[in-house]
Amino acid sequence: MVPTLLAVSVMVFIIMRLLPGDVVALMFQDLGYAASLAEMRSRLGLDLPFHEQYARWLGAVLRGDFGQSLWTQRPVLAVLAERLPVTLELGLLSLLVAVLYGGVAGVVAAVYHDRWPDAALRSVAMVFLSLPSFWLGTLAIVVPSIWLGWSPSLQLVPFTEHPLENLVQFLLPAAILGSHLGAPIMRMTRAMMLEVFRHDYVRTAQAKGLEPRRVVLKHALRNALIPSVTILGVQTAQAIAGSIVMETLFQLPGMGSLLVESVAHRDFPMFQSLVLFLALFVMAVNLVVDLTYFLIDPRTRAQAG
Amino acid sequence: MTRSVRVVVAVAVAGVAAVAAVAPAPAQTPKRGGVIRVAEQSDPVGFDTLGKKKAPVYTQLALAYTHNRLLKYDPSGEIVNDLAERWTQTNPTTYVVTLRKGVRFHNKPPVNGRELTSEDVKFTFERLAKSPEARLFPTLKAVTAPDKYTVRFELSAPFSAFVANLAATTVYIYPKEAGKPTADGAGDYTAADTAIGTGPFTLEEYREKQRLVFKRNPDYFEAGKPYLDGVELYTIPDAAGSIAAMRTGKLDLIPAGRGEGLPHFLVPEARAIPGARVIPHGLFQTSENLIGRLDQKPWSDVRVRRAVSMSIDRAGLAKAIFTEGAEPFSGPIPVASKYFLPLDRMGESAAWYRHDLTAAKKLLADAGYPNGLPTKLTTTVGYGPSYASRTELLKSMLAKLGIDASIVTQEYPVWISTTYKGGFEGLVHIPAWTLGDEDEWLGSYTPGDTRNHIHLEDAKITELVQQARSAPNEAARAKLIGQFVTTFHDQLYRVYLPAPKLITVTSKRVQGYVPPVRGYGYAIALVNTWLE
Repeated sequence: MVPTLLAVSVMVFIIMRLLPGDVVALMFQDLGYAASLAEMRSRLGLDLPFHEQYARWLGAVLRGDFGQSLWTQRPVLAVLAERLPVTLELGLLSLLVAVLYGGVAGVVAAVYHDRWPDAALRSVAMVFLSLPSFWLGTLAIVVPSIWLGWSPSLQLVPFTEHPLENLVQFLLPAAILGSHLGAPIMRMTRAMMLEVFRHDYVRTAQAKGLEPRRVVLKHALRNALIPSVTILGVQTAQAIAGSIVMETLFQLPGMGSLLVESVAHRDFPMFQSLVLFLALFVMAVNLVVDLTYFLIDPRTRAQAG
Repeated sequence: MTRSVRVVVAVAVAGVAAVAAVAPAPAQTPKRGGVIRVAEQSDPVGFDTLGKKKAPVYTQLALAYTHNRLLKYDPSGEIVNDLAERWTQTNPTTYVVTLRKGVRFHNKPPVNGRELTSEDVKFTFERLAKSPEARLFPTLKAVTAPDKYTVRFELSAPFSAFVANLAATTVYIYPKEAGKPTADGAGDYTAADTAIGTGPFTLEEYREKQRLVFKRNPDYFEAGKPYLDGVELYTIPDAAGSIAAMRTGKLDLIPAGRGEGLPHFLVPEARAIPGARVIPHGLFQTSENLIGRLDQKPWSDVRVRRAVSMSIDRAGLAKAIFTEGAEPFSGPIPVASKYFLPLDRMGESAAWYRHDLTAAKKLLADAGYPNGLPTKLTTTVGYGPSYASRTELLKSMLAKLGIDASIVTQEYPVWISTTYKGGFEGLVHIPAWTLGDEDEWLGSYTPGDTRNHIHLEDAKITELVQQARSAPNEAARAKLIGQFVTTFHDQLYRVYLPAPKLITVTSKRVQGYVPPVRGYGYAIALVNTWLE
């Protein structure tokens, strides 16, 4: 993980500086707190060579100093502490929805192969896959406001204050994002289940007269899950990307919207720290996914042993 | 796609809108009480308009609730007294302002409701001198406080925008003890707990990117006002989200304080809200425009500029996208300005604003481009998707003239650091400007000004601007600005596009709200607003 994080830090540092658009010019135009561009560049330490800037930043990060936002002057860590829980909650709830929807729908579709439930679930998955989540999100706000007189809360309800209200607030964006993320999982689960159904050991189990539910859930599903779990790891990064839109639409002050703002403002310290944290999060989820293989598949345990 | 959704929904509810539209309520007696819920697109970046950094728009908007200036603009745009009881100009370089007596700061520590004095004004202008806002008073030499309620401003040279700039939405009066200590003594007023002023509301809560909660200031100097118990200001970036929130009773006011405001295609949705009032109104801003570099061909040729202007179908553009109404153009100073020159008084230059493709093609041919010309048309996504779609419309209009414009869409930081600094080729689609006094617009046409993107170096214009700045009286200033405007329209340094009406929406509860022409201070209008 450490080499990966180091590589991410180098990449993000270089990419931000390669992007066209000069933060100093932007700040000079919008905030103008120095007499000249050169003075402002010098104040921000952006007149130093790249490698020196990187060494200073990395050194500070290793000491736990993530710096200050160039725009708001607020400590990056303080901002992250406010925003991170929102994105984590939305991301994890979305992944939960994706797993539940993708897993259940995939199994049901496979069991009812080529019958109407299969066709219906595949069609729904195609709809979720092809419709952009921001479009669904806009509909989810506008339509209930017209027909049901309901619209999302205008501000974040903290989980620590009102857990139930908080979950209700996150449910709709998580459902939209989760259904979008769950569609590929559904398709993969279905395909793998159909594949596994053709294996001899499943046919043997059926021939032995085992209860169909037991054949499906205990014998078939376990073997069919590995590719779906792998997809889940990849979907984590997509969940973060999707949260940017959901957070904006549903007034959730998370890291997604902060990420967009920091890129738009070329806020180097904020963006670099955000990406590092997000990379860490994605890596952690993928680690969990890897560890899940051990639980699901005994062959993995045997190989490791 | 989001816009498409909005259009579909807008069309769907249009029929309902026609039935549900409600006429403005008749005059009623104001009532005390209630909390109004207001939408704003973003939230403040700090609470200091006179810090080391230029204050963002949203900081200015927030401080309009909590602070006062010496002078202010009333809803019609006229300058009236705010903290000043009266002001006089004793000679061309001296102004004396007498403060209202008995005005108290908010009853919050460390200020604890003490009385405002001339020392606070003096301190504020000392801060201002160290801030980017010093540009508003370029000839200010000294500020003194001869007694508790008198402030004396000495200028090194006459400056005709001096009084108007006292009403600028950055020149709020700060109490010295509220700021966090700084080495230079100016104090740091970035934190929310330093937002202590004399304004109609006190800041009680600030949740970044979520909401600001204001409470009625019981000691406000206007007796009996504000009528409201408080204001909740919610950050809602998406206009469709604001409409949905008002439809479900969660919002009372969607103000139009700057830029484009509520897109006109969403107005049918707003009208469909039972009891909602949709108020189209003007705003003190210039309209979007097309520019090119005056030091480069082909824009350096006035015939090309005139041809481009005549190729723009302003009426068609307004009919297609500004369904709630639009002025034909707003520039080089805002249509709401007393110095604005309308088409019917423009004389021969009015011809350049007529849509006449035949005449436009002839002008282009006379300029040496009988077969048209290829060019770039730079725009940005930084002002929202509808802005970029208007660039597409401009491209199609230019095509009819024979100008093959290839659109270059820039990300906002790239736009600011290249195009907005004047580093571009071809044509550029420039957004509306919301500035302060007319002097700020005039100043943007002088060499060296950061907003002189068009690279104008016209000795006559520069002299007119300088003379207008040092004009000894209003009559002389009006004459000089009139000459500037006439010259501008003749030379057509910028091709101004239609200026849409701004759209404010209020819920059925809201009474007495009059959208001010000076949008950045719309909080002032809430002092006279009440809820039914």
